[in-house]
Amino acid sequence: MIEARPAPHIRHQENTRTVMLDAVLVLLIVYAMTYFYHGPRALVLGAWSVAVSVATDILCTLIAFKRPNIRDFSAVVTGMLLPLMMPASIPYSVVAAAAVVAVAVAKHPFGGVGHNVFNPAATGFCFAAICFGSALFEYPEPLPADKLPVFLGDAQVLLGVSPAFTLELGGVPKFGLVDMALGSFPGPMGTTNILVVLACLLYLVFRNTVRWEMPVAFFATVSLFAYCFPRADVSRLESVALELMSGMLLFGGVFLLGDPVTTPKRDLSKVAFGVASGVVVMLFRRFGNLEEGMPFAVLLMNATVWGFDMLGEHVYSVIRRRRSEVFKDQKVQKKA
Amino acid sequence: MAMFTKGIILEQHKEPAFSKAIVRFVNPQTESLGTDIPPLEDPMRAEAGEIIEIAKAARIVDERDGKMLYRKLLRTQGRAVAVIADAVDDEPYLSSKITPMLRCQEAAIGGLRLCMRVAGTNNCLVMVYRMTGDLETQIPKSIGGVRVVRLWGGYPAESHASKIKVGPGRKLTVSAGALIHLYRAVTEQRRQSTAFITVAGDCIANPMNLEVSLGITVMQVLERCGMAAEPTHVVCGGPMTGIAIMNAEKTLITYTTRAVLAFRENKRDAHYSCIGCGRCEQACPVGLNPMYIHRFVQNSYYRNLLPFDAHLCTGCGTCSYVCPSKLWVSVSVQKARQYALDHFVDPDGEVDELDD
Repeated sequence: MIEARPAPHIRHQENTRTVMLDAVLVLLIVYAMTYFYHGPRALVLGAWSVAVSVATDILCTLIAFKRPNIRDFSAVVTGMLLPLMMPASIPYSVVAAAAVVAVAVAKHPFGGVGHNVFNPAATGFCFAAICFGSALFEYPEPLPADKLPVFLGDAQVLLGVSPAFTLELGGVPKFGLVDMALGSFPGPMGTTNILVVLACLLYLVFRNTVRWEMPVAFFATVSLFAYCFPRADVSRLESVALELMSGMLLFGGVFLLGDPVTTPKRDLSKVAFGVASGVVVMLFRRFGNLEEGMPFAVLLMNATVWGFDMLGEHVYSVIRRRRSEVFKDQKVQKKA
Repeated sequence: MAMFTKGIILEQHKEPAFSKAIVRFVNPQTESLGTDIPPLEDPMRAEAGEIIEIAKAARIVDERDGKMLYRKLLRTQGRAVAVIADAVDDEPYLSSKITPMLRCQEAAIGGLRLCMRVAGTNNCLVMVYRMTGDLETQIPKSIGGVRVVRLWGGYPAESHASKIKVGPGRKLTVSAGALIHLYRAVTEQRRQSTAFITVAGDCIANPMNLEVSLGITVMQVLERCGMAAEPTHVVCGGPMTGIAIMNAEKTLITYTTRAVLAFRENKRDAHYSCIGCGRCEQACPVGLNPMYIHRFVQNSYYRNLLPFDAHLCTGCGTCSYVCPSKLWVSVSVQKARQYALDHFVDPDGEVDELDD
């Protein structure tokens, strides 16, 4: 039957599901790399985390008397992000707790998909870092992959020192830059694959899922900061490379700051936000006690998104009023 | 950056209607209606006043903006710097301006010359949309000796039509259909009794451009072109700005109907909530922030809408088009626009002569 509806009558093919599937797709590639370095346990961790997040998501939606809609993959993306920020030897219980907190505390109390103020994955990680700190910062050595059984039990895990921790102590990491770019060093299991994450960023930018302004501004600020204030006793350029490749900085810059819900919308605001985030992250790294400052910095910056958006809005307001032909000379103000 | 966007690129879907000849689907009784003005000796040497009288008697309406042609002519009589023939079909499926411009060249250019006599200028050009995609018919560089200017960029093309440089002063922009009707009124003493429309959409078996009599029902037009499937919505006007109609048998073709489109929509992808991707802000041709306006309107925070400048909205529908959550963003922005016009904008400098 013919129905009445507002214009427009045609729509773009892309929908929320394809936007989320873009993220799922690139995260799957990151998971392939973690399988290469850490064996099947990485995949089981990911599947477990996704299962817990989706179950929590459905439960929270039912509690709010809404119809669950698992066709948008937001809970899946959150679930896939969480284990990638943790070591491959993390107990399943920690991942489950982080996933439950991410969905049930950071996302649904604010109104579900698209309304959360704080990034769910970053919240889950910060919760785990505060509650289970020791388990979260003990990184197993990557390769050979058969070292980690799916269920750890009493198995011996060979632990390594991550470059982020060495830098935090003021030392110089012992890994070559090529090794670091390829991801062959101890660290959070997804975040060490520098080149793969960069390729993911390229894909997301070309798919227009992530705008290029924010990562560029963020990484430029971080690089400038690292160039001016090197933490370790290395050359300035080497300091830039070490800062960019150690810890969660690159991964967070792509996937945590690339989250559209908890970042500013305008390009101008995105640039300002990227610069501010870069400064905050580097201050956390320089003066903080924890080796991973990135998720905490993201949470802190998430609270300021509204301010950045309004800043951009006022700047654009001046430009577009000047450009408008019809309302150029009109006074726009609240009437008494 | 969003302010420098050139609109969005739409898939045009203009073929096959664009390459076919215009089919006449007219009522012979209304077609023979005259203007009651005696024929001129040499129509192309008519005085400005005579042409305006004829345009008034023939009741020609410019389908571009729905205004009477004689009023537009009166307003620019003898003081326009250029006459622009508007053949811009920037919305997908539509080719109801450019096709008459190409197929009825003689009448259209004749009408353009008559408008130039009224406006008192020798400067004229034809404005077309540079369509992306492979068209079977190429748009020539000049039509009947008149220069063709192509508008680059995406939809809406109207937002960069003002960049065409014709010198300072008023421009008279008349659409192709009105030019043809003016020429017929002057040379053949015929009243405007027809409109040029495109019939297309994914439910139409045989998409084409029609010249139909005013007052024919939409159902008759749809039956003339054949239906390939049962449509879920029938639209009068373009796919981006048109009006969906409830009853095709009781809706008539009017002066400003530019198209009749029939669509069938798959409803499975409805009901997502906004994920704040910011695509609407990148797409908006005037640089608004539809996402925040939508959120404010949903929560009835109308009083805080002042910095969002909703009164600048042109109603192009781009924000709804790009929304991946399939929300009716443009409806909210229209509500906010009405509120802003009522409460924020001073009514003193009310402007209604935008197009001249």
